[in-house]
Amino acid sequence: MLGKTHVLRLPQRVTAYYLLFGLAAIVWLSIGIVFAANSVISSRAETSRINQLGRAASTIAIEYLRHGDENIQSIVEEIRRQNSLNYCAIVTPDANYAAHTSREQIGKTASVPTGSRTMRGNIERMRYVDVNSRIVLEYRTPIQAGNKVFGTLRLGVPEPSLGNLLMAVAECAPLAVMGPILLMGVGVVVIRRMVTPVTDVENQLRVAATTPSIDHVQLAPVKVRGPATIGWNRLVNRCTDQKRFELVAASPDRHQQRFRNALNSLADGIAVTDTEGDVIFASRSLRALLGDSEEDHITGGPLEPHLQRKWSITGESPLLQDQRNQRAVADELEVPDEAAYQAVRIARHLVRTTDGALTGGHVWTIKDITQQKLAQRTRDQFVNTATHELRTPLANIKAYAETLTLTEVIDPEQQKEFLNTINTEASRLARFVDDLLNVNSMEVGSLTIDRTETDILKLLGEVSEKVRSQMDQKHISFDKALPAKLSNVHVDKDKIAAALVNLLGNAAKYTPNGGHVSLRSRVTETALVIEISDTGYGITEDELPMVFEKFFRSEDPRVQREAGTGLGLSLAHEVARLHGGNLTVRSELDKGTTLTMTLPLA
Amino acid sequence: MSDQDEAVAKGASDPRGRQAGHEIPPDSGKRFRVLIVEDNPAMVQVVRFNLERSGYEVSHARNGQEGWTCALKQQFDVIIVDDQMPVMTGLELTERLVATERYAHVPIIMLTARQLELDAKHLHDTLRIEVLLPKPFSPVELVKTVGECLAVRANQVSASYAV
Repeated sequence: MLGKTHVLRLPQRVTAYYLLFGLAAIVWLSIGIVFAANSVISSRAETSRINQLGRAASTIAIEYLRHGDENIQSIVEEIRRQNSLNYCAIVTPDANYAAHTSREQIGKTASVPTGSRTMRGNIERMRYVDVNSRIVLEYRTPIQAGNKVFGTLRLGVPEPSLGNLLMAVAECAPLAVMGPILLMGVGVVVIRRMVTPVTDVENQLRVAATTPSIDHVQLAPVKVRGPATIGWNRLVNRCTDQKRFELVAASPDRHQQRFRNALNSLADGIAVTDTEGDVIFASRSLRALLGDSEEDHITGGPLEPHLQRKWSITGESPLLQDQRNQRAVADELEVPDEAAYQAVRIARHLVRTTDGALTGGHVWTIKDITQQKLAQRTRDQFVNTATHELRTPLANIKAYAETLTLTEVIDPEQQKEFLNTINTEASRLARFVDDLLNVNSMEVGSLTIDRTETDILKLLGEVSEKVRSQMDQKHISFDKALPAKLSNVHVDKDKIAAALVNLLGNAAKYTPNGGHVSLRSRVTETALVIEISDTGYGITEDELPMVFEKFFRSEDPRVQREAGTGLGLSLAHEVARLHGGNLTVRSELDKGTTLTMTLPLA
Repeated sequence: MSDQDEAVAKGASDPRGRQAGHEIPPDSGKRFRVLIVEDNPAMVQVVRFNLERSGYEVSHARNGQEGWTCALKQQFDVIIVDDQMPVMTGLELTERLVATERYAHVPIIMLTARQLELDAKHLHDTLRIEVLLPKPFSPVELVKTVGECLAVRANQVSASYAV
């Protein structure tokens, strides 16, 4: 349908037809001119011949009257010479040549040529073909004076030649033909001017006809020449404004683009492979996960090498098994590098038609499960820690209780010490269970505080006593810088105490032997500030933003060696927050950490 | 180093090892030496109390590193290690111990709160850990286990001498 693009465009066709008809008219005109010229020449020659004939006849008649036929021959020859005749002859009434420019004919019987014969008055014209096959016109008129007839004069003249005709045509042709040609030239220019807008519009429509997607057709306004162009321009402007081309109904192409857009907007990476296993579509997220933003780099070839490059997928992975496998397969892969840790779940499904038939193609999904994996790791670590934290005091309680039960004779001092240990261990267990419950409340947002009038100096003293033995064990110097007097504050005494024990316990736990821990407190205009500093292991800049997250524990092996739940800091932070205050941290690796709790006074 | 030689000689020849059974009388001559490597002081105290009452001579180290130093200083007949400890874990210490000739045949008992994750058979085969004792455990059970380990060891050693 659109194959005949070689056909001339409309304006050119119009011009061509115009020129064709114009030339035909000129040819027609030229033929007419030739005919006209021919008849003009003929009649002009005829008149001239008749005049010559008349003059010759009267000259000869006068000669007959004066001198008889004495000088007739020379007169005949003279006439021929003067009038450029083929021949000139006089035929007697008894049909013999009395004179002839061909002298050997004199006295012979006059020839009777056959041809067309016309009469005009007493002048007869014969048109015949002579022995040399030339067309000859022979004019005849009687030679007479009064009633006396001397004979017939015959003049043979050549038919007017083609040269004469051409000369005649050339005489009148310029005027007759050049005019129309000039007019046609003007006509072409005018037509071209008239059709230029049509050309512009036609060009755009041709593009629209040959472009696969109508959405990609760019229409442009044309030069204004008349109402048609104004109308076109208005249509174009409207289409451009609305960014819509309603000329053609939505094409399948457009639907496909919609699906591509939708798939590209998904967080999970999507790829589609054909029967050969080559990628025919790779969504934006998939490309991002593969670390290659160019779709061209992925499409057109198999997906597996990209997966192998990125996630060092092993040959045993079900993803690399037989493509014809009817089942959907999935695998979880990881970037082993700890710094750029990434985990993905890749699944491959068979593509089926709506009636369930296999197309031979596959659709792949790649889901980034890094966060889930990290959360799971944290959870595993927590379960591990929690097990240890629960079993250690429990093991002690059981061991002491059993020892006390089974030992018959025991020193009362020893017995008391054992019972004390059971008590301490039970408290430790209770504290951990409390922490767990608090974290759970914190998680569901139901952790509440119960404010009472609290002597903060006394509370700080009690808290310090609780951690003193821990400090002493590690020979950590512990100093307190507290104001002499602090007015009572309105806080949840138990929760603040627990938070401070946690903070001081951490300071002791993560400070090497012989280190230093200090507890400072001061009152500003609006808040009570409690600051706990240590000369411990410190926290890296990377980990600092995460320290208040639940279950977070530093990767530092010195910290990992110590038992801990990863709950203390997050709980302390939450407690400060619930009081309308805050807990902030400053730390430098290998230098130490300072935690500052701010509690508003009002 | 006379201590050490004595211990080896005793381990090999002392007939009490065979008949010791569950408990060794506290006053029956030369006492077996037990090393406890455990970071929790309360746990150390109660284990020490029970073992000493059963007639063992007990030494104590707070982590794997200290335990290693102790084990090199003195020869022990049984070593009780905790699994999770700071500085050096029980498993790391055990790996070191079994690699040395002097502890190649000394029974090792491991205390752990991670009994679900640890594979007792695997640990026995690779690290020669005789018993994996899950926390919480009974101190009486521990004392009994120590006795059994020593008895088995004594039998094995005398058997190898007989051949």
